[in-house]
This record gives sequence, C-alpha cells and structure tokens, in this order.
Amino acid sequence: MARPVPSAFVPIKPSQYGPNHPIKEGSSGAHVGALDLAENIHFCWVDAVRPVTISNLWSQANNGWVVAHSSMRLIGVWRREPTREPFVSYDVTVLYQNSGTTSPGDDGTLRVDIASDPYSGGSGTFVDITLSATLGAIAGSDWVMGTGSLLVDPSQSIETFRAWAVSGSTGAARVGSITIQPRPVSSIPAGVETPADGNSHRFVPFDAAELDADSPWSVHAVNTMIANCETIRKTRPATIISYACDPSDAARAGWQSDSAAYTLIARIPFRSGHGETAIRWSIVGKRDGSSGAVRMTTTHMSSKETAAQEVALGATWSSPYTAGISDYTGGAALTCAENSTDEIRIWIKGDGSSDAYIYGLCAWFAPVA
Amino acid sequence: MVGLTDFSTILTSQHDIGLRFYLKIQGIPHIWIDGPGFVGKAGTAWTAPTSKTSYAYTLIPHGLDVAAGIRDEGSIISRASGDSQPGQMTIRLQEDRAGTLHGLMARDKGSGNTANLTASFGYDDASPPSSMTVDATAGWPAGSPTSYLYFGRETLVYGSTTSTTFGSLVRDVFSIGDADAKYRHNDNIASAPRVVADYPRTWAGRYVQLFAVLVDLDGRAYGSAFGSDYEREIWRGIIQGNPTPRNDWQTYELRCDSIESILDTRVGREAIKGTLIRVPQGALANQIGQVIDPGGALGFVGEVPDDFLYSTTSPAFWLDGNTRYFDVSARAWTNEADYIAGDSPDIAKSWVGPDRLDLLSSSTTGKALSGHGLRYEFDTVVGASIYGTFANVQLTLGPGYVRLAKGTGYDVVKVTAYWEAPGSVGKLLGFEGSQEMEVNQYENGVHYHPTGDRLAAYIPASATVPAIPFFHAETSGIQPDQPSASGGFALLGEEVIQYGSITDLGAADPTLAGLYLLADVTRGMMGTPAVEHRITLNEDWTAGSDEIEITFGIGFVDASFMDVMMQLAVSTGSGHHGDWDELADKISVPLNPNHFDTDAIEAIAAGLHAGQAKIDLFMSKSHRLRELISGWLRPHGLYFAARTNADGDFLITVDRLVPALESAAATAVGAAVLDLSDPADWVDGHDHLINQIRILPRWDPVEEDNTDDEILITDFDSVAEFGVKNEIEWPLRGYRWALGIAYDNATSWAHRLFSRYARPYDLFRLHMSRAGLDLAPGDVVELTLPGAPNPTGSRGYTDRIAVVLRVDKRWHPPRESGESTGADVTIALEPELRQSTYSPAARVASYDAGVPSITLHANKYTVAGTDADHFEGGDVINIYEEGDWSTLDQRTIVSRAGNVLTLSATLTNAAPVSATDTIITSAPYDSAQSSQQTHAYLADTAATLGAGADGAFRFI
Repeated sequence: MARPVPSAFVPIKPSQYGPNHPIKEGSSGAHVGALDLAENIHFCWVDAVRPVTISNLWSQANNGWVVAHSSMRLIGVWRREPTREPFVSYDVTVLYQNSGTTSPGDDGTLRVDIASDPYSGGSGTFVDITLSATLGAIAGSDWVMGTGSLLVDPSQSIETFRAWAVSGSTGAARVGSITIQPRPVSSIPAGVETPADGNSHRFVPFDAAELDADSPWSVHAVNTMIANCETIRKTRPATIISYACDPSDAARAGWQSDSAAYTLIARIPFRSGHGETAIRWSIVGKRDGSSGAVRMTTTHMSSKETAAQEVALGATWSSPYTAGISDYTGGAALTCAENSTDEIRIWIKGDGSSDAYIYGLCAWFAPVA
Repeated sequence: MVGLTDFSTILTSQHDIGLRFYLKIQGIPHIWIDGPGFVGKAGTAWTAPTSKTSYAYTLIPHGLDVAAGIRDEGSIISRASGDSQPGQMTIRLQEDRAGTLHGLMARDKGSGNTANLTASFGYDDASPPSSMTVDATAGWPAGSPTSYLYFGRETLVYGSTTSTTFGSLVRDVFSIGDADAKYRHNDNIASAPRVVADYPRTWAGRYVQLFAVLVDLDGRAYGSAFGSDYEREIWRGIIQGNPTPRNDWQTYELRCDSIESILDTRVGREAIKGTLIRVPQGALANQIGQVIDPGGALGFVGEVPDDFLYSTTSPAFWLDGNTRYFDVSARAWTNEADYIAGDSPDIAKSWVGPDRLDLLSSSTTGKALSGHGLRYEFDTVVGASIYGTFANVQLTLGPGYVRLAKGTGYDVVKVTAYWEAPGSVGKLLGFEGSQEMEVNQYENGVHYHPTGDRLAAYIPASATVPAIPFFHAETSGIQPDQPSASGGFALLGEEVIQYGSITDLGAADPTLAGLYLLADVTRGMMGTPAVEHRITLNEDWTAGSDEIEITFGIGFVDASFMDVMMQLAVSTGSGHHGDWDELADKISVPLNPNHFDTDAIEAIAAGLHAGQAKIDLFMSKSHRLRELISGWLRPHGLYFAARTNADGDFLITVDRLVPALESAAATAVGAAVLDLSDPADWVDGHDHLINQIRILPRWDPVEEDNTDDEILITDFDSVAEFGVKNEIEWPLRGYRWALGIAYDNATSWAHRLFSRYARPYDLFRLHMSRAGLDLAPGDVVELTLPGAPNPTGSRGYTDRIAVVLRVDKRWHPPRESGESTGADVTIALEPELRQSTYSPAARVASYDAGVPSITLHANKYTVAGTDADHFEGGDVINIYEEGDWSTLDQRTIVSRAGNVLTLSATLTNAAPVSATDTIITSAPYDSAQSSQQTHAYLADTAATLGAGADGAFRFI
C-alpha cells in the first residue's frame, strides 16, 4: 500500500478530534480521521518544511552587480551542511539581467556546482542556468528568473557550493540574487528514514492500510506521529545567514579591516528555537598582510565567558579559493541559549597596515539532538 | 515497600484467610498489634523491626483494639470540583499490664524531663546541627542508643550530653523519613517547638500508619516478618487533637483524618512591605512623607530653607544608571564681536551620549548621596571637565539652581544642558528639556532655576533597572518575616518585578539606616507593564506623589502548576526534602514529601499539555493549598486523593477522572462478589447533571484574582432537555492566555466534562465482599446484576462498564455487628460511549524461529510494568517492519512468559526481524480476540467497526 502525500497541507479542524468524536480512518474526504493527520505529516516531511540552504543578494555597491565575464568566473562561495534525506535535489533560482539581444549567441550562463564533485568538462554535479539575452539592457527593475536543479550529494556532511557566471558573445549579464532550497519530493519509500545528522532521529511513514478502518488505533501509531513531527523539527534547522560576494575582487569584499585590533564589523540577530543551542558556521576570507583573523561569538557565549571562535585568514587566494575556506569543523560551533533572542558578533583584524577580508559567511543552526 | 499483587490476589481469591492489623505512629518507638505477636507459617515469631537499622521498635501485642471495627470511610471525590473530602477513622489503643500506654500518653509527664531550647536548631539537611543547645540537661538520662528526645513530632536519639547540650544526635527516628523539624530562636518572639522532652508531649499532627496482614485460618501470617509482600498499608492519617481516654479508662482513642487532610493548610508569605523613596531623607522622614529638620522634630516650622537639601543631613538622593549622568556641551568665543557676527566658537566641546559626564565615577552601580554630596560630585566632575577645557568657566550646582560663571579668557560662553537625556541627574533636580545657558562679558555669572518638579526618586520604565532603592513600610512593624534577600518577586505599584537580591544599605553606612536596595531587577513580569515612577517633592519638601508600595511575594514564571503545588507543599528553604523543595523558608509549614506518591504525580505532570499546564503566578497573600490544588486540577479532569498504591503504600496522589474505559475494566462485579441479600441501592443521578460551566480564564497577577473575562460554555442539548443543572465555575489561577486560546482550551475541557455528566447517569451503591477491598475510586468494573431495572425498559445489567466513585471499606467489622469484611462501593453508570486506551504495541528485540517466539523490548511504550504486560495468550497480532504495514505476518500468541511471546507459527514476511524496526500491534478488529477489541480501533466513515458494525470508539 502507498504512503500517501497530499498535494497541499490540509487544514484540519481540531474540534473533530475532540471529546466525544468518533475515532475514524481518514479516507472520507472530510478530513476527520487518522490518515488525514498522517498525510499532513508526510507532506511536512517532503515539502512543507524545507529551510532555505542558501539565499544571497549580491551588492550593488562597488562596481554594481556582478557582471559576467568572457570566461566562467566564480562569483560566490558558500560552505554549509547540505539538507539531505528525503531530498535528492535542490531548486536553484536566480534573478538576472542580460543586455545581450541575440539568443542564443548572447546568452550567458550561471553555473552552480559543488566542490565535492566539481564541474569538469561537462561532468560533475552541477546545474547550468541560461541567462537569456532578452532584456537588451541592464537597468531598472526588470529582472528575469532562471531556475534549475542541482543534485544533493548525500554522502557529504558539509559541502562547498559555488556559483559561476559568464556572459554571452556580446552584452553583459548580471546576477542579482540566488536561492538554493531543497526541492520537494512527491513520494515516500516504505521503511524508516534516518536523517544523517548523527542524532539517530527517524522518520517512519504510514502505510495507508495501517490507518485503514478496523485497524488498531495503536500507541505506536500515535507515538510515531509525534516522533515524526519532532524529527522534522529537529533535522530541518534554519539558516541564519548565507552571504557571499565576488571573491575575485577585493573591492567587493563584504567586510574588511586593516586594524591590528579586532574591529566589530557585523552583528547578526537571530532567535533560537527549542533545543537549538549550537550554531555552525563557515567563513571565506583572506589577508593581504602578514596576519589577519576573524573572531566570532554570541552574546550567550560572552555571558558564559566561553571563548570566541577565531579563524586565522590565509594569504593564498586563487580560484576556486579552497584555501580561504574555514568552518566549524576546524574549531567548534558557536553556542546560544535555546528559545532566546541573541546575535552573532563578528570581528575582523588585519596586521595594522594591510587589509583582511571576508568574502563569504554562512551560519545555520545545528540539528537538534 | 510491599507488593500489592500477592496481597491482592490472596485477599480476593482465597476464602480461608483472615486479616490481622498493626499500627505505627510517627516518632513513637512502639508497634501496636491487634492480638498476639505475629507468627509466620513456619511457626517463627516475627521480630520487632528497626528504625534506621539500629533502633528497635517495641511490640505491644493486644495493644490495638479492633473490637469497634476498622472502617475506612473512603475519600469522597467531587466530580465537579476535583476536590477530595478526607475520610476519617477512630483508632483505639489498649493498655497493657505494664501500663505502657498510660505512661506514653502522659503529655505532661511528672517523671519526665524537659528542657528549653536556647538556640536555633536546624533541619537535618546537608549541614545539620551537631548538637542541640538547651537551658539545662540536668536530670536527663545520659546519652545512649535508647536515649530518645522528643522535639515536636520529631524523635531524636542523643548519644551524649553536656550541661546545656545534647550531642551525637540521630535525627528523625521511627519515621518514614523527612519528618525532621526546625526551631528558630528569637528572644523576643515565642517559637515552637521550644520545649524538648524525653517523652512525647505532642500528639496532634502525628501521622499514623495502619497495616493489614494476611493470616491463615490458624492465625499464622503468610509473611515471615514485618514488611513482607503479604501485608499492605491500608490507611494513613493524621491524629486530630490529643488521645482521649475512654470510659473504661483502659483504652485511648485517636481521632484521625485521612492523610490528604494535611493539604488543609495555608501557603504563601506575607512579608513586610516597602515603599519607594518619597522624600530624599531617612526612614522616618519617608514614613511620614516629609523631611525632618536636623534637630529631630517632625517637619519644619515655617518655610524650609531652600538650601536644606544640599546640607549633609539629607542622605537619600539615590543615584544610579537612571540619574547619575550629565549630558552637556559648551562653546566659547574669545571676542564678543565674533559671536555677534555669527562666527564659529573659538572652542567647543560636548560631553553627550557615550561621553557624558558620570557623577558616580567611583561607583559602578549606585550610591546614596546627601544633598551636599550630590552638589560636591556635580561640581567636582562637571567642574573638572568644563573648567579643564574652558579656562575660568564654571558650571556649579547650588541650592535650587545651576550657575554658569566665567572669568577672563572668553567674552561669551554658551552651555547646553541636556537634562532629559537618558540617565540624566536633571530629573532629580527638577530641570527639564535642553537648557541653553549663556554668560557674557558683562556678567560674572548667571543662575538658572529648575522649571519642573523636584524629584525624590526616579525610576524609568525601561525593561531593566540596575537597582531600586526602597524603605520598609511603617505599618509593617517589626516582624520576623522579611522578604527573601536572595531573590524573589515583588509588586511595584501595579507591576510585577523579579529581583536577584536585597541589600541592606544601612548595614554598611549607618546614615542610610532603613534604606534597602533591590538589585538585578527584571521589570514588567507576568504581562504587567513596566511603569515610570517620578516621585515628586512639593515646595514644602513633603512628598508630592502617592506612596508607591512594594509588596513582596512568591513568583512562578512559566511553571507547571503541578510543580508549583508540590513546591508550595513541601518546601523547607533548605532544599533537603526532594526535588520539589525549592522555595524559601516559611512559605508554609512544610509537608512531608513522603506522604505523596511522587512517581504517580510526576507521571501525571509529564502527561499534561505544556500549554495548558504552564502558569505565571505571583502570590503576596496566603492561600489555602487545597483550594489552589483543586482549582488547578479540576479543569484537567484531575483530582487528588489518598489511596494505597501499587507498592502497597497509602499515599496522596493525583489521578484522572477518566470515563469508564473498556480496556480498564479489570474487575467483574457479579453474584460472586455481591451480597445478594441486598446487592445494590439505586441512586438517581439526575441531580448530579452538569451542563453549564462558567470559566474565568485570565488571571490578574496584581489583584491576585481572576479578571472579569469569562467564558460560559453550555451543553444546549442537555439544557433544552433538563434545564440548567449545577452550573459550575472554574476560576483558572495563573493563566494569561489570549481569549482565543482560552476559549479553545475551555471548550475542550468543558466538552470532555459534558460528554460524561450532561446526560443522566445512575449511581449504584454496591454491597460487596472482600473483593471490594481491592477497589479504589477511578477503577472500572464490569457490572452484572440480573433483575435490576435499567433505563432501557428491561431488567438486568450484563458486563455493563461502570466507574468507581467511592469505596467504604470494612476491613474489620465491629464485634457482634453481624457485618462481614467487605466494602460498600459506589459506582456511576454513565451514558454508554465506547472509550478506551490506545491499542497496545511493542517492539521486537529478537526472534527465535525454532520455537517460534519473539522477545519484546521491555518499555518502548510504557513507563510502569512492561509493554508485554499488555498482551496475553490468544491475542492476534500483526508483526511488521514499521513503515511497511502491508508486508506483515499475522500470528496468534500461544503464551506469554515475561517479555517472550510464543507464536502460533513461524514468521515469513517479517523475518528476519529487526531489533529497532519490527513492531507488533493488535490485528484488525474482526481478527482480534474480544479482550483486544476493548482497546481503541479506527472506525470506518460510517463510524462503525467490523462486520458487525459495532460502535466506534470516541475521543475522550
């Protein structure tokens, strides 16, 4: 039998499950039965709860939006945990402009690939989104949306996502923003799914027959419904920030400082949920001088006198900038109190004369244990 | 702890048995037995048990007189109120030949020794006192292992003495534990228990424990020692008043109330109140609301000198983060012509925002200053900054003014004082807004006077204020009950605040005697708005504002009411009476946590919906604990009562008023257990209908009462038929729900009640044999009573599910009464709705194809017992990998042994089983055996079950 997934979340009247109402199966269409509850939980698992993996807006300051070049140019690097089970691919959505007038000759390309299986001669895990030459200008508020699908590599516990862009034969293409989000799946296989977040949470789908008329309304079924909701909540933590800018141009760096002392350059507020006490992070950056570093903490950590996380920035800086990426696995996650409002504070310092730069910053809640 | 199962099984199934009884009293080293000493089946006499392994009880055979019978009238549980009316019992003790009882009951014993405590004596906590100090120990026996000292209701053993102390103490002997007492010595106030003695002086309030022991027809006990599985604590109560000799002068009567009567106590503390500073002077001036002249007379004759407050005798200007700063900027022109021409100043500097001037640079939190001190700090700090930057320019504070002056160097000086800046001292001084001051070459100095009210104190409405100074209110007098100095809650005007500590400023500085400081204050708690307080002064230096009172109390934020009620009940202030002992001292007379079935209470608490269980509560008044508890429990369908639990202990517990659940009907009540000469009295239940509930859902923490909001929920079908019957009111304490949420919750609760009580139901008072002794309120029985008229027009009941409301137990009938051992059981036959528990499930740990059998994990779905306990031989089960129900094996359980189920055939689909994923549940309705069908099943769209179209189960 199937494990049904509705096409949309079905609002259910709680009163139908209140005192004195019959305990029914859920196939009447009136949505007053056990299967209706289970189907909504299925829908949450495969569709409704899909936190954005990456959402980025390139800055217009310093030479405008990213302008594509005659060869593929890396315009953004993000490193963060992929969202895996049950998702098998990401929806990649971009907004772009292209001043070219002839398609396909003037069409540009936005490519997203992953560092664990990079694009190489047409193979690898990547998606190419055509930046169609349709506008004939780069101006105003006319933006075109491009979409594509990028496969999830479920073997990776942390992944480097990269966005590349190139313009067409004539004209220029600009990429304004990008969103990468798990793509909904439409079916659920039989058996238990165990998200690979190391916390042993399980999602147990319901076979329709299990909740058919005359089936037992078992303590297992009710426990499973509750446990499934908890699994969804705990394994789909939200992204706090996923920022990146063109790493090939120091003028476009998000933050920079040449001060030898730490300079507070960003404060990112967030609200933690129940059980959310750790924030995982990644930094993309470099230094020009003899030294440079980034320091991160939360007000919770400060109040507990917990040492801040510090990253020494490297001097090596060439595409694809692998040497400039640091993440929490090389240090530790930031900590916060659950159910509280807090902020991530980020400082940067150079060597007193030369700048240090941040080109990318991701922070997301660790899955709840 | 004793087992219930063996006692229960033998009591209800074997006829050739008898019951014997014995009694223990808190702190008394005797055990009274209803006949000769107990002898086991092997013929060996029971030895006396010990307390704390070393202190033996003395057995008193024939000391417990049961001739008048032992009857537990049973708690009466109100289904409407959730309240429980404690049962009562009169216990008679018989004198022995040695006159033990007469000596024991001598509460003012002529040959006894007493002593007065002369120093405080603490609880038996983590740091118990090593000795007890008294006025004299002369005449007392030397310390030994049998030297008992009676301290209120606590009994101690002392091993040594000095002329004024008892030492080598062993606390709380002959007790169930946590019955330790405390004495607070105060030369000016009487306190108890002040007198200690070597004989018990206090009887009222001691608990008694009555045990029943199973014996055979020869009178030999099934067990071989006290505390075996073949006995049960059948009743625990509290002695009311002193033991009374009866007319025979040989027996004493103990009038006792059931143990839950200890909840009839008041909880909460009414501490000394406080007031915000009213006038900037000491405690006495603040009490009368007027400054006092230095000579000490109350008030001034004539006009108060304007410079009075800037003298050294007004030491209560409180400066802290709200009032310690001065934001100012200054510009100066060397030549007046440049100024007139509109040129930029020759020099300018600002001390605003982060650079503002701090009048309390020497103090990081706050400080009380005399007027003179305030003036000194202002002149010093401001002078150093302005004079240090602008040569010969001075800005000084005087009596009722600030003065801007200059010497040589500049023709024109302009100063802007930002008196309304956050934290500005200007509020205290009466200055307002941004004030422009100017002095030019034609003036030596210019005075500027305040335009607003002078303030005695200023507290902004910001969410956090570092500290709030206050005086204690005059009307509080000298009471020992100070507010908790280590943090707590208080009502500031009409705002609930939480504070971290109280500091007595007078302790360090005698000039501040009476002034206290609330520190680490969190404003605007429990939904009350944080309010700005501007305490104005009149021209005659009397208080110009109404008194702002600070009322101290206990607070709970986002706390489960179950935790709140238990904390209020058992807290000692020492934290040594279990997990709920969290509140400060003197919240209540601490109740012994060992009278509560904590496991059962925790299990109920864990099952409550957090959104419906969490409350915010501020208490500055005392409340009756029983009313608080029942008020919280009843909307949830809960009640408290005392009963013997599964471990055989008679304890106070919280239980659910659940309907008659099919799966819970464990006792068949029929001809075999009924007194057929008079099996049952029929009682009309019509008068017990409830079809309207008035719910007061919102709590005002300031008034400590419900708001006027109310939700009236009516079962209109019932009202149309029977009229409004027994409208009840549920004032919900501590809830601050939005009305929409309140309505949802109230509706859910009300309909749960209506489903049971809005339709007529019948009450039967059954006259049962010994089987009734094993029943308790809330149990479900299956009644088979032929011949009784029923509401359908026919006669008789067959396997009719009913819930027990009350059990009146005759453990031992009065001699020559003609009655027999048994119970009168009141049951309710409610409208028949199929309601039950979830169908059981379990996880398979392993599979043995050879038998074939499966072994279950013990507790994947249960807390008490095992998952396997919910399955039995003959059950038809589905075995499958979870998430894949369609691929299953359906088998019959041949037999069960512990967690091992022997199956009717080997598995095919589910084999090999997974220790994590393989599940068993009941088979579908028509395939299951009848006992399985008493658990919940899913009905079809027509709300029927199985081929026989049985009725659907209903949500509760």
